[in-house]
Amino acid sequence: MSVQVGLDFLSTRIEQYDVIVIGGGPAGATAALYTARADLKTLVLDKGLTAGALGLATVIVNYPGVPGPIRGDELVGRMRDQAAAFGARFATDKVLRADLRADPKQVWSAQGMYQGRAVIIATGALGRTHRIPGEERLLGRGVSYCATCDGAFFRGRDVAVAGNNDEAVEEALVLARFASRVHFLSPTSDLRAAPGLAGELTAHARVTLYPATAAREIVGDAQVEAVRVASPQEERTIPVGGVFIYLQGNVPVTDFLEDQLPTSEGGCLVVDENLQTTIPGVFAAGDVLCKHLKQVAIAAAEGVRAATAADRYLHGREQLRPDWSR
Amino acid sequence: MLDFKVSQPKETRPEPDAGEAGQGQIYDLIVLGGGPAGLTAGIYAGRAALRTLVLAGPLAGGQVATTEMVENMPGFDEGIGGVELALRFQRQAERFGAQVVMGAVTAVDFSAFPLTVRTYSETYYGRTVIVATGAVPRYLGVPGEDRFIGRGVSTCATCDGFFYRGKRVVVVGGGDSALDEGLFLTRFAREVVVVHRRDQLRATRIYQERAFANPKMRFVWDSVVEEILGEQVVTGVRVRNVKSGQTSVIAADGVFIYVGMKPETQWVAGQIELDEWGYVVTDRRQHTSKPGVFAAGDVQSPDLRQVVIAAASGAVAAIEADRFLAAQAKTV
Repeated sequence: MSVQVGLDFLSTRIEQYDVIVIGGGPAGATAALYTARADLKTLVLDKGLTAGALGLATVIVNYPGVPGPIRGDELVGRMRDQAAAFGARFATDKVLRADLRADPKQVWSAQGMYQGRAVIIATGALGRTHRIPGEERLLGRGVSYCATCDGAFFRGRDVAVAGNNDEAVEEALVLARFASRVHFLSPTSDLRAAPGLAGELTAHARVTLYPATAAREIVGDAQVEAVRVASPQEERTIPVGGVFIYLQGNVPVTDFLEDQLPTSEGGCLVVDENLQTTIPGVFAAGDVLCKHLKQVAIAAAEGVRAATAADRYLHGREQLRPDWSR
Repeated sequence: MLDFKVSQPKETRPEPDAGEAGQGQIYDLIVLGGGPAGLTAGIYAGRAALRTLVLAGPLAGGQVATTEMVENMPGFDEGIGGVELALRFQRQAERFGAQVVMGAVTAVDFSAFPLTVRTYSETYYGRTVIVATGAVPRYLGVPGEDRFIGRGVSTCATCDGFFYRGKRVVVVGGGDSALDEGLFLTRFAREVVVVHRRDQLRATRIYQERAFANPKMRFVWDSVVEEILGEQVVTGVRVRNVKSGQTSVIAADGVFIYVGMKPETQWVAGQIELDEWGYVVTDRRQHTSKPGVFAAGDVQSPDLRQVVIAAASGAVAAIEADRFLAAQAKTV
């Protein structure tokens, strides 16, 4: 059965970095570009090219210097290639937990554990506002956000996946290797995933697709027993042993922080003027701050500021007063 | 497309609503400065359908146009020439309807609406103004310098340090900036030679201590750079000891100059608040002390002189100008 996330990573090799950037959108990729160019060993952990708000944007025309129209995932792809060219490492991985007060700071992901002397949080604002009834109560008891971590526990059983993006489809395909049947609950009638991925999912013999279907309740006493779903046509209960949730909303993604950092009313991370959070060496940039306009150039500029602040933190340069003369 | 002309009488201030009457005499927004901040403001204002004039000033493209290759503007994964990047900003602004003209500001009057901006040959009126006139690094004014600016002579280690891995560089100056950026350069360069005209540094003690403790840093005291040497690339500098008068050559692959910056604010002094160094004071949303006047880019931020930061502040300033205009329209 699914266990508390994290325990099975203790044996894996720990990678060490100067800076770990969580999130690879314009803020995160730009932060990595600048830390890499400052010769800091940099890792970017991101769920994939199309996991963020820019990746989902079909047309960008107002990013300065790129007359466009350019697809969002192409623009963010270029930013990542640029950071990678200067030595930043990108890992497609999902961050599950972080211990930001530890020294060095520790980040657990679906694939392992990483240590960084500084952390930049650039996870964006596609987080969820509402939980499904039963979700929190049964978390770790059949409810999971990570098929790569927990999929093997569901060998030969039925599971449900709620979501419609690349991540949801990829995770469903992972689950289909173990589960006897994957019930794929898409909140929209069309999948918002890459055509190749979507095709692979719909063609898969052990996947049943439920378009325009919402998960209404996760049912079970000690363990997940079923999921109650609703579509415009009908309401039904599907018996499953696990529910994997990849739904997107519009609040900052901070759940992996588990209240280590204060947030404002809208769930936005609170930072000082140097984009440092209340924990020294932990910075934030981009939509996760949500006090600004949601523009690519602005998120990227915050990435520069967070990277510069991280570099100053690591090199004890905080007191710098530029002595520009008139 | 915009089809209005800017040819009003030079001395009479038009009625604030003249533009509404279809005369097109008053711009919604006049942007002073044609660097990344000003042109990005033009992109955003044009897209918001504001009648926008960008007065690009004497140095079209701003500081970035003096850079041979920009590698840290996010989204340009193969790098881009500074001039080409500036041209792209301009084309994009024009495509969205902003009018970009050359011409340096000679005077402004922000005391009444519409706001007035004068160049040598024209007078322009705007409901809002964004000051994005930039800041100019001071150079040495010695032979060889001009030729290598942007390709061997730099004022930004953050921008160009990466190119000097394993090389030797000269840093000119003795303040915090010179030492901080010099220390930054030691991550890449095999040796950083600080040339300073006095026998002691002006920098904060902690920077001095770090610089003296760093084995890659070397100091040449009481010396001024007289010439930057090289045919195709920088090969070194000739320095003169101001006490002994003796000259010598220091071999180097790059020269980083930190002898001060000058914000281009002489035309707005007295009209909006400036700080002790002459930079425009703004709040986080790029508002200056004068309602309807905003500032963006290096002219209001001496700290991080990066293209994308300037561009982002230009975007914010344009959005704020648009909001200011909308709020005004509501109260009329």
